Amino acid sequence: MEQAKVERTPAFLPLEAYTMRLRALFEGRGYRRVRPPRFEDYALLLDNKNFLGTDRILTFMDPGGRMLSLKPDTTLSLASEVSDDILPCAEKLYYTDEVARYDPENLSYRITEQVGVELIGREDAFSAVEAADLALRSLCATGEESVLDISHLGFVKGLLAGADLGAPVEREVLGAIHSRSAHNLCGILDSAGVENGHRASILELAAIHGPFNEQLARAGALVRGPYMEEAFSELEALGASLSPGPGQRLNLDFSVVGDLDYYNGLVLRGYIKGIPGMVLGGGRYDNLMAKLGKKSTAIGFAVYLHRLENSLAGAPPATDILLLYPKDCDPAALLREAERLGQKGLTVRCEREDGDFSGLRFNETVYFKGVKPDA
Amino acid sequence: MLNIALPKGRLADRVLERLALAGCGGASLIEGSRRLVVEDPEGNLRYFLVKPSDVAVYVLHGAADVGIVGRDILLETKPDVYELLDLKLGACRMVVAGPPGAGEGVRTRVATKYPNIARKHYADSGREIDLIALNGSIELAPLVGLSDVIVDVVETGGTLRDNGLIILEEIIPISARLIANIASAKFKAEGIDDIMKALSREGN
Repeated sequence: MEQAKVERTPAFLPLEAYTMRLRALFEGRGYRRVRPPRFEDYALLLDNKNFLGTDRILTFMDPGGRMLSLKPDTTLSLASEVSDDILPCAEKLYYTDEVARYDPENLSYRITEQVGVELIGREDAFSAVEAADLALRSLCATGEESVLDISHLGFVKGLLAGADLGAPVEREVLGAIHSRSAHNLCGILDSAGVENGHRASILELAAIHGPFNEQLARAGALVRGPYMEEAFSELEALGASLSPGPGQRLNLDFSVVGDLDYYNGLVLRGYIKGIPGMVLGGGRYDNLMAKLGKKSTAIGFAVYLHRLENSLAGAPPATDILLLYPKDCDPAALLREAERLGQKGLTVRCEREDGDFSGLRFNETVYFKGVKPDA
Repeated sequence: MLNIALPKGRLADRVLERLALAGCGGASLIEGSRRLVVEDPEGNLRYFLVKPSDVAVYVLHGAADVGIVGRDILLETKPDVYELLDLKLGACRMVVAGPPGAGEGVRTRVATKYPNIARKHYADSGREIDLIALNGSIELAPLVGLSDVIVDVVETGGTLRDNGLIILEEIIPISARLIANIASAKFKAEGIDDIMKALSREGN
């Protein structure tokens, strides 16, 4: 009687398993997978190099004479493909993609993988809540201790606008807030002659970083005018809706700043304990959409898988059977034996018996004695 | 365990003195020791001495949670770290220096080991320069005709005076800063706050 064939589930590496969990998470919320183009028009990237954070882009000319690039970012590519008209229904997209970014320390380009979501075409309190919730769950899915920092550029901009700093001073102030340099910030405000009331508000804004709902009250005391009221209302909705998972913390942190030319509202930054850099980043980028001539709003984030590589790498699973064969083995018989073992659900690696197997990981050695018959 | 990168030299001695006064364990163990890494007996702090220009690299990459580095290095390399405290130690100035009357031509030749700082200083006032990047003995450059002026850090100005050079412009004051890895600040906030308090006690 023929033995029933065992369907074997592949043993995913931890990083692969994590990517599958993210896909399940996003699809569970109705997000549709898209496959971004590998190449992008160089002119689009150059025109938006501030959003990309780099002007070092790998370019080449296609046979048609068009300058193309290996894209350093996915969001810009997806945003440029969106219809110029107001969308009848929000687009909820997710992707796994490879991008080519310049590594200044190694003086070379590096291909890295990222998984991200984009929610395009809906601007309401829920879109920010959904994006932030997905970000929290994406971090939680690593199984590691994590922190999600949230800021709101509408709130920051509204407060700074009241001080009428001028663009150069505002840039310096944002830089000092980002680096949490209270001493530098005082110096900048003193040099600019900022009036005491505004000075105190800016210093207080810079000092707001910590547990979300605790810091929210401090932010509330700074609200002035409808622009900040609207931003604060969005922050309140986030505080009331989001629930950090086990080993997770949610912070309100105004030192999280993005490029004001592109980001205009919620900004998200995610960190995993033991990993020195940010592993998740994103926010609302309506300004980028407007710059691209789109009427739709947009919010999204990406998880940078290369930052998680060492943390989630794990070792490849050991092979179940190392099937050793002699030099004069019958190949057809060996193949049948490997298939027979495979049908039991075992992983099998065939190696000639005179090899060096010290670098292999396996659970059991089996010697195959089938000899090729004389011709 | 909080990892602290300290710059080799006089600045490390003064920082360790301040940490020891605040009761931070292990600060006295590093003195005279040839060990590269020293841990305090309680196991809460680990110190290591590195080249001053490398402190920010250790902190940026998370090998150190915090570090002490001069503002000149931060302005020149702009690492993405938190700059939490001005220790008011190691006070000096970034200046333009040269022979009297130097640098008044149409296009000034500037020798420096701080090309980004020099470039920004002259660009801010709309002046064009030819930049010559050097690694050390910067004061020599105008003396042998390599450059018209230098952009460098000056403490007392003694070396300049001894070589007939004067300070032509003051760019920015420099002092030692406490920096922190951004991610470390999320997970080791309490330990970093303790270090901030310990280093704030003297001089602020």
